[in-house]
Amino acid sequence: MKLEVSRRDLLLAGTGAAAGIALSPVPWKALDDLSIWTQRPPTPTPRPAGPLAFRFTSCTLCPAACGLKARSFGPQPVGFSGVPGHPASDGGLCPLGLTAHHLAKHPLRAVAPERVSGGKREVVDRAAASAALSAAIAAAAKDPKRSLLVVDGRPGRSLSHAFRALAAATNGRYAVPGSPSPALDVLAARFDGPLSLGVDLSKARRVVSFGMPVLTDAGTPGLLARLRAEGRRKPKNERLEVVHVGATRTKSAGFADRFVPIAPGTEAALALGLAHVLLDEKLADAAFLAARTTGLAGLEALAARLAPPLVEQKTGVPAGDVVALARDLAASRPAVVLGGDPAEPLSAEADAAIAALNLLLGAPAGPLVARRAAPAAPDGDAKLAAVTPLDAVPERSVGLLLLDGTVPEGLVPWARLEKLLADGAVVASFSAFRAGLGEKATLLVPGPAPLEEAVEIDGPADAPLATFAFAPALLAPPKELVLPEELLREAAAAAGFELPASPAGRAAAIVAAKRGQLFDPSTATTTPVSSIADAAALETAFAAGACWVDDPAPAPAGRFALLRDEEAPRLLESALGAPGPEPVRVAALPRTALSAAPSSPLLTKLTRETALFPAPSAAKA
Amino acid sequence: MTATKQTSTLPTHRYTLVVDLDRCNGCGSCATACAVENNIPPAPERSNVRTGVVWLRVHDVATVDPSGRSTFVPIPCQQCDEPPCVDVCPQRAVEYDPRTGIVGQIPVRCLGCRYCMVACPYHTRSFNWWSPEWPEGMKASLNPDVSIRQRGVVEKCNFCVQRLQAARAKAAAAGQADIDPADYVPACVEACPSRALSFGDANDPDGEVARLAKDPESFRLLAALGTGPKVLYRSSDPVVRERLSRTGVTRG
Repeated sequence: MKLEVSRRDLLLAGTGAAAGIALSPVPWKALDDLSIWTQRPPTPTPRPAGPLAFRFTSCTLCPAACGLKARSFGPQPVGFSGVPGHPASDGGLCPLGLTAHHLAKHPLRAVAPERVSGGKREVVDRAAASAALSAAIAAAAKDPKRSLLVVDGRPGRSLSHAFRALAAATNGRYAVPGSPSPALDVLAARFDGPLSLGVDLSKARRVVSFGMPVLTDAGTPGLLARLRAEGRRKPKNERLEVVHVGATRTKSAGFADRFVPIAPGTEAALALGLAHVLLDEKLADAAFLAARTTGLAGLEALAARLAPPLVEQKTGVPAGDVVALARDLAASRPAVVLGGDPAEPLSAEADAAIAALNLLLGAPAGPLVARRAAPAAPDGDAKLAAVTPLDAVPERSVGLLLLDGTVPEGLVPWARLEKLLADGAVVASFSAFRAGLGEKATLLVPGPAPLEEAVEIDGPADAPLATFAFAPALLAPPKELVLPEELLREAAAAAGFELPASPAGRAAAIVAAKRGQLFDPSTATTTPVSSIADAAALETAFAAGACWVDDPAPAPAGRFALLRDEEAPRLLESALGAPGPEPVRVAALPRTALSAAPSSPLLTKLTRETALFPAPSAAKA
Repeated sequence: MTATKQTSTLPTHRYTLVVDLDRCNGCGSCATACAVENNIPPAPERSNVRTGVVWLRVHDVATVDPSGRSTFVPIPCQQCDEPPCVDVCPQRAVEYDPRTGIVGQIPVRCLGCRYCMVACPYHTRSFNWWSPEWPEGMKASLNPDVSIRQRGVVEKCNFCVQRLQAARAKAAAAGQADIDPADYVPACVEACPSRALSFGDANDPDGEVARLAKDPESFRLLAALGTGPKVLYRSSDPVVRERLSRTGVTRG
């Protein structure tokens, strides 16, 4: 038989062989072996020049002022960790603080002054920026209908003194962002004398939050989560539990032991409804009310109008739940009621109702403690502008808006500022970034980025003890950078206003007060200020990252007004006029960071790729 | 199990992470500290929960609790005693260290087949879809103790093994046979403000971790698989314990 191989046979055999080889591991393994040569191998990370050292400072991104331990090579930090035992943070650190060393090289970082001209942003030199600022200051001083408004994100600094002096000299205004806890301020204002209140969560067994994200963002969420978890393994009557009341199921609400959804804007009605039950069933702290308060009859008359069925109608919370929550609060004393998210404050009436509720529960004898401010250097004879609430500034009355670089847009939304601006107003910002409020500036004079300058920083106003640090710089600022205070003084002088020198000597004031302790982060030890020799020694300690913490203040003698006569009609109107129940939108909302700086690109990535700010549907169990 | 595992003696140490879910409030500090410590690069904007490189994810697990409470679950590599990823790697790029119990990933050996990602029941491995890039100047702030991984390789948590190496070097310099436990703490544990994470040697009978491992409130994710994770979770909520130990958490 003659074996003939046709062309078709060859084609078939070839195709079969190709298919067979393709189905075998051979080509794929060969491809793998080849492809590995197309990849670059892992590369060693460059080691910054300089010896390894650990340096200490305080985070200046938000008022919490957490302790930072920086692992550095020469002047370059390569990582942060918290400082155990630190008075402000006790070793904790948030994602913003952990990435603070990225911000100096953030893509939105501005180094040279920029001006918006004809709708276009252009880089200008220092002289042009100073001249533009000077002209705007002179114009604002001349025209009261187009005056100066300064918004300072962190009052009490040397730059703040210059801001206040300029505002006073030009008949302008000086404003600061709102209080972190307005309900506490309202309560303190009801005291006989001057009083400042902080929250000591370790003394509480029940924390009720009206919209304040106490477990994720506000106050000291890490500490509260820790205290609550420790309580979970205790008997039920000794546990610390958190109840979140609000119209939105935020991340903090989802993490609370109990979430009470209410119709938007009806916080005052619910707080007065709880007061009604406490008074009606004689569950209030009678001893505290008798010894430390006035005006009980007025509050009783007001609360009597807010019976649980009516509260249910207004808030959407079932009457039985209102009664149960009030009874639970009374049985779980010491209890404290906190209100308002710094980014979304409650109404003044809701703050007043929450203050009354705290008094009925006797909170000022428990978790609410009197605190003192850190000693400050005297202002001297300089004429300085007082703080004006932003709400008191007339609309379209501002010709020059000076924005400090530490003002977070989360606390002072641009929409709120924009309506204050007159036509053609100049918006000058000292932000280090073309982001947040810095992006809105028509004249951006960038200041140092976080960690690039030493910053005086007071701890949060609602902490149980005042803290203060003179956070040393870890990074060198770019050489071409103009310091905001320097440029402000230069521009003001060119406009005919010589600003007085800022007072130096915060350290001297602390030493003179002989109050508090100095925390040394390198050894985690404290030293009484009374044993520190002089201000120079204290300044040396601050330059090494030390933090001052106040001693507990003695409880002041005096009484709180439960309700002021003139408040009753407004409160009643607010509670009774509240909108009826609406379907509550249940959604997890990403929160705006309370920092003026943008997030590190790494944090942006993590937010996008993980469930840090999850939607409820994103996670499955 | 691989030859490496079979021929090993019992580990001298058995490093273990215990996560207290009652304390975790989902702040993300652990994930951020991990990313900073291990030089994880910012990714292109098109990256997402499936394609991004993240060594430790914090999941929000909605429980069946009638009060609507959330539980946040941080999930790094579970550092299994019987790791499925080791068996499937054709390049020996995944190794179980019998001295520590740490499952290490060696990027220089990895050819990017991603068999290990398929084998891992916890979805804790990430593939580098893009070349690592940082904004100009930001590279100076990277941790010099950790190499930059390139496109095309898989990576995962290794319990910050570079810190263990540093602790060993310190102990050796001091003439000590073993490290001081305080010198070896992973970045996530160090950063947690709620102190929800505990880390230590489970072979140390007097250690906190060994005590927590025996606690009836402790459990392992997907316990029935028998992979023997050295990441343990604790919760006072039996519903959370039952669900997570049975079903784990789905990524994405």
